Amino acid sequence: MSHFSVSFDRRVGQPPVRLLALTGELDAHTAPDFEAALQACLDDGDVRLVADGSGLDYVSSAGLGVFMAFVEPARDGGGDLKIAALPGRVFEVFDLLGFPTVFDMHPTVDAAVASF
Amino acid sequence: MAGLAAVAGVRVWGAARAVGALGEGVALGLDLGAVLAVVLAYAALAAPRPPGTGALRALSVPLAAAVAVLGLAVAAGLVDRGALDPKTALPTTLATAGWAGVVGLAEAGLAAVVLASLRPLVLHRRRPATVWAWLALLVLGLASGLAVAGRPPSPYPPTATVPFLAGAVVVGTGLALRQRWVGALTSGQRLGAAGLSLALAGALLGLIYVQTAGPAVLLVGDGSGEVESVSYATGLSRSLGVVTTLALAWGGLYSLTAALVLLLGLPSADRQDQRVGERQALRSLADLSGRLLERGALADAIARGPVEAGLADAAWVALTDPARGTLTPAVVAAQGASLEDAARAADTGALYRAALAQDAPLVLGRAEADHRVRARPGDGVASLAALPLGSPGAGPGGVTRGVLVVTRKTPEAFEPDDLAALDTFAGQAALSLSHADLFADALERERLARELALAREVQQRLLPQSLPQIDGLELAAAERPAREVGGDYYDVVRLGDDCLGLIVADVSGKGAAAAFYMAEMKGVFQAGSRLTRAPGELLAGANDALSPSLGRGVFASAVYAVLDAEAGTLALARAGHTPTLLVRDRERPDGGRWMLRGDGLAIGLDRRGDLFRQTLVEQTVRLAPGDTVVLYTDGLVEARDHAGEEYGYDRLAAFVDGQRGADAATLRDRLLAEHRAWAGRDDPDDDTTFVVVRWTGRGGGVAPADVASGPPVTERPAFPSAQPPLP
Repeated sequence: MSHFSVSFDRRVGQPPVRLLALTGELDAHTAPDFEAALQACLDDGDVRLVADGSGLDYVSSAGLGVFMAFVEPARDGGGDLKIAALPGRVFEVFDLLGFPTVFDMHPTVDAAVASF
Repeated sequence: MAGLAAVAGVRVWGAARAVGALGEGVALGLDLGAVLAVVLAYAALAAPRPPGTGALRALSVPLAAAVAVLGLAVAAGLVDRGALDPKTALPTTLATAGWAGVVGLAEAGLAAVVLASLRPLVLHRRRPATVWAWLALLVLGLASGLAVAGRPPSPYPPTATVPFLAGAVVVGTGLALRQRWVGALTSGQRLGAAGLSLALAGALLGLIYVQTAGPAVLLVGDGSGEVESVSYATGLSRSLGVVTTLALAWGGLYSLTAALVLLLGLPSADRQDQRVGERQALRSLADLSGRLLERGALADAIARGPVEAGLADAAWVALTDPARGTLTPAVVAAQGASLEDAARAADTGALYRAALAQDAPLVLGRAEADHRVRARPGDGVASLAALPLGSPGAGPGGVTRGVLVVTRKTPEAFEPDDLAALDTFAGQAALSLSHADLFADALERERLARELALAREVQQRLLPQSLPQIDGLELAAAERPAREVGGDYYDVVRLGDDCLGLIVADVSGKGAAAAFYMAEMKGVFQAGSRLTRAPGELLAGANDALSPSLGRGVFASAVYAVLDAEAGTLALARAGHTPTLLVRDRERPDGGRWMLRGDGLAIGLDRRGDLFRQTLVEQTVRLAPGDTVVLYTDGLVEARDHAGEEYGYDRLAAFVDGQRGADAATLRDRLLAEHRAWAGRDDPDDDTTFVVVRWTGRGGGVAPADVASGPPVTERPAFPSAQPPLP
């Protein structure tokens, strides 16, 4: 079974940026957890979001779809969903599909937070 | 007890100083004091429930006390030769006063012990009415005693007491028939309890007998007056005499009834009802589990069970739904309360977790005082038990599916055997739920299987049934569908005599949706390839056409190649797809292997299309004889071996490079075998699709390309006019 967890209880900076720390394998089974976390952030009124991917081992197309689905609501709300600190192999998957063109991606969480 | 001693002391002191007219004031004070002493003694004994109070203990303690007091009373009657002065109602000798004090004190204590000991038996599985009846018995007994306060000793009740006495007899008789505790005994305990009950009845009724007609009477005067004799307790205080006699008589009646019920094996009527109810509840659930395979209906039946069996006043069922990610149980059925009231009455999630943590029913004797219970006094949730449905351990139903909460309107209402019955019921309920879930899973699997079969059929029909033949070119294609239908798609269209359009695409998502997108992709590709020979334009058109219909978070990657056999060129563009493999014969100076990875966004990523066009790049290869091009989906390179290692681009390129001279069909077969061998099994996790293009050429040679700085391709933006202005 794939293991995955997302913790999203940290806010940093001013105005605050909500951090979502992803760990494990983001695939079709675990994507709903990530979706729920992002929805919870939006429900809380947080639209400045940074997904910290440093703990990700794997991402499938279902996982990538979650980023796609939530970047627009975040941007519509005046914020953004940025992706930070992806490990090389996981970054490859994002890169192959052209995510860096559409998403604001950063090598570190600090850089992503600072870019808001 | 100190109170009693004081009463006795006062009495002795009073008797010693008695000169006839000390009067009614002292007698009244003694009566009130004696009754108060009995009340206090009862309260002290009955208030805290001693842990582990068993029926045998409840009988043996009063039995020992009764035998002791019986012996004491008989001894007093035999030893003491004194009497009660009929005029002053005071003992004639100091010794008699002493005996009256001691026996009265002992009897008061005995009355308190009898009432306090039998109370848990009477209140076993109490209902609110039982508690009221018990209180009424106590109050009526006290009232009977107080009604004679200050009157001279006499064994006969004055008219004023009659209503109270009559009430006490009616209530006491009713309570004596309540023998529900009997059902909780094992057969061995029943025998012991019968003996103890019989002995207790004998001791208590014997005590009353010896004090009215037997050797333990206290003569009044010379025994020839209107009142011949009274009990020693009455000699101390008439009120005490009434109260103790009532208590002892009721205790005797109760234990006698218990002995009869036990000895004759008479199940008390309500006990019988209850057993029948329990059996009925369990049986109905067992019946239901065969037919009720829907969670909601089953939950209703589970909530109904304990209430209909008389084990609870209200019950509700809260279920988790792991399939939908709901791990906090939600109240789905209630009986004896509305769903809303049940959901409001307690933090069912917290009760569930607590019960799970101890892997046993959670019992709250005083529920309203618990922080997890939101019901207030008067809401009818005085006792509460939370029973997990299933246990976290192994075995059938080894997953917890929720919790059954049962409540009573009285505090401390759940007896051990109630809980045992409820626990059995909850176990059965968990099993029924697990059956229902298994059935639902099977239904869902069947539905998925049907959908899968349909999707696979659609997928198969969408793929080309044959590949075009063109001089100088070999084509071979393969697709290995996964267990679950994915969104892989490939197609080849002839564009004129010497030209082909090839597409390999992968839509994210699985099942019927993926098959649907594939069908749409085929329409777009078939139509678009007839409109343009520019790969970039076709992909941009596909992005425009597909984006509106792709679901939220759904995207597709695709690579489109146009092979012009006459010109000997291959032009391709990549929309987020896996890079295309080009292998050129090592014999040539420009031989080598490359992954062609021009820029391009996946379809659906930029739904307006501007970024898509700006980013997209077309690459053109001038083909040399012997060139092999492989277009494939990620299933090919992402196949994992038993150790979890991905096959990867490098292995793929090296493998194809090593197959020099093999024709396209042979290469396809070898690559399939390689892929199967790597994954070690026949059902890949993901669809795998690839198309092999081998250019054998049309005779003419091709000058070596410059490969010093990269693959032998020329590259240009697919939409030069869409480029953002240079800064």
